[in-house]
Amino acid sequence: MLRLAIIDAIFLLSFAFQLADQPELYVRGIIVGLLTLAIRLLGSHFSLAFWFLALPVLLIWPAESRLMLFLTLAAYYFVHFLIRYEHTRAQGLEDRLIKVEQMNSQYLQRIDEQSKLEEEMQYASRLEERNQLSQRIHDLVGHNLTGALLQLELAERLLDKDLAKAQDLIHSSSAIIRQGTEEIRLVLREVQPEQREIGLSQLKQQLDGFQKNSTIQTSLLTSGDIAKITPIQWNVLQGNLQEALTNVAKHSRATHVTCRLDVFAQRVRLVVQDNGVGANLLYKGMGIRGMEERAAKLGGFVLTDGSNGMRITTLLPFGQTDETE
Amino acid sequence: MAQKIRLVLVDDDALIRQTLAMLLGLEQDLEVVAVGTHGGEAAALMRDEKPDVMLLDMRMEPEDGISALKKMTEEERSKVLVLSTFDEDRYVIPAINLGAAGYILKNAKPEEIIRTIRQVASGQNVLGPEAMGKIRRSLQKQQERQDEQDWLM
Repeated sequence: MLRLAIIDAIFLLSFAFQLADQPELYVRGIIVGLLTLAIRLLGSHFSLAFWFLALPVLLIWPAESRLMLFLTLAAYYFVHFLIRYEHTRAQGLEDRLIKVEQMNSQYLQRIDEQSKLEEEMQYASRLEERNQLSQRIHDLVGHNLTGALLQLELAERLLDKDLAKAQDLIHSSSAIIRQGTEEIRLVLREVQPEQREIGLSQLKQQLDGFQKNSTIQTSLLTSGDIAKITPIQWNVLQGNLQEALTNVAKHSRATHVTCRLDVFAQRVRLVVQDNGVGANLLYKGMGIRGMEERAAKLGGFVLTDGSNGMRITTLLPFGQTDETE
Repeated sequence: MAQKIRLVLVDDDALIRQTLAMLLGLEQDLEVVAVGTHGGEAAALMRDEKPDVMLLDMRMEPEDGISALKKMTEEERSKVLVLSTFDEDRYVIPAINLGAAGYILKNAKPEEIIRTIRQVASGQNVLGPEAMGKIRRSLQKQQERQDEQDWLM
């Protein structure tokens, strides 16, 4: 409001100064200007009153002064309108911004709920697995071990009464216990996921996590017998993948990363290729050096090629690990 | 010689059934008069054999011990000694609630099982330490829930 009033005042006073060569009009101009200012200060609703004040002045004043006043008023209202318009536009933009922010937060919330749901489902399936496991151990321990235990107790009591029977029972119970341990071994083997699944799922997790955090798309391709990869090789591959992804996020400006894992007869190869700006790798950062060192520990090496996007290849041989290096 | 304690044994595991029957049969004052292979047979055995004590397993197929207990009269239930492999919540509390005379684990020492059988035969109620712990925990949980409710009200 004050801002508008000041603009009013400046316009009206500038109008008054245009009439400076006619002293009595000059005074009248200043009076009208101050009146307008006062009215404006009371509130914008009174701006119409300005016209009622200005009109008599318009009628009394000489023609050219009237024209000047009219032009000045027109200019004033034009600017006034402009300010109003800008103000409304800004208000509209602000409203839209708020709306976008609201939508954004709703969207984020939905994503949050979605991931929570996924977590819950994973949790439920883990529980289900545990339930099945506990059921099997139940049956195993319940039937076999309890039975064998009872047989041994009975054998102990029969030792001085019926030696043959006691021997029989001991024999039987040791057979039962043997069978029980065999079954437990089988259960455990089922419970422990194969290394292959662990390694691959961790690789997938790394890529998924990266995609989520960076919004760079990722894909994973595999070929060959992945079961051949040893745990320590998985370690190196995961380390190098992580390093390569960090590079992609930092330098590449890529929109997509492809991760290829190929198992050949003699070696395993991990290729991380992005579609970014690439680089002529004169300077090997800590990341690349770290990858090379990791690979070298297992007798492998790292190739980098920045001519078409960035391509980092880790090659590890099978069966000739040299960890002393 | 005093009257022997008549026992009925209900368990779905043949090995346990046979071994336990032999083990208990070694005692002078115990006599296993019948065996059942699952919960569905328990109520009928109780009615027909009228044992002094019935040893009843809980986890059985196709009918478990709880369903067997539900089919018995209150007096019959007071002769049931639950002999289970595990002290699971879903068995201990309902079995006690239904009026079983005792709850003891199969891997308890035979002397303890035998002593418990004698106690149940003489009309006592006996809970093994595991079952006792289960009940105590259940009561504690109940108390916590009650406290929480009181606090909320």
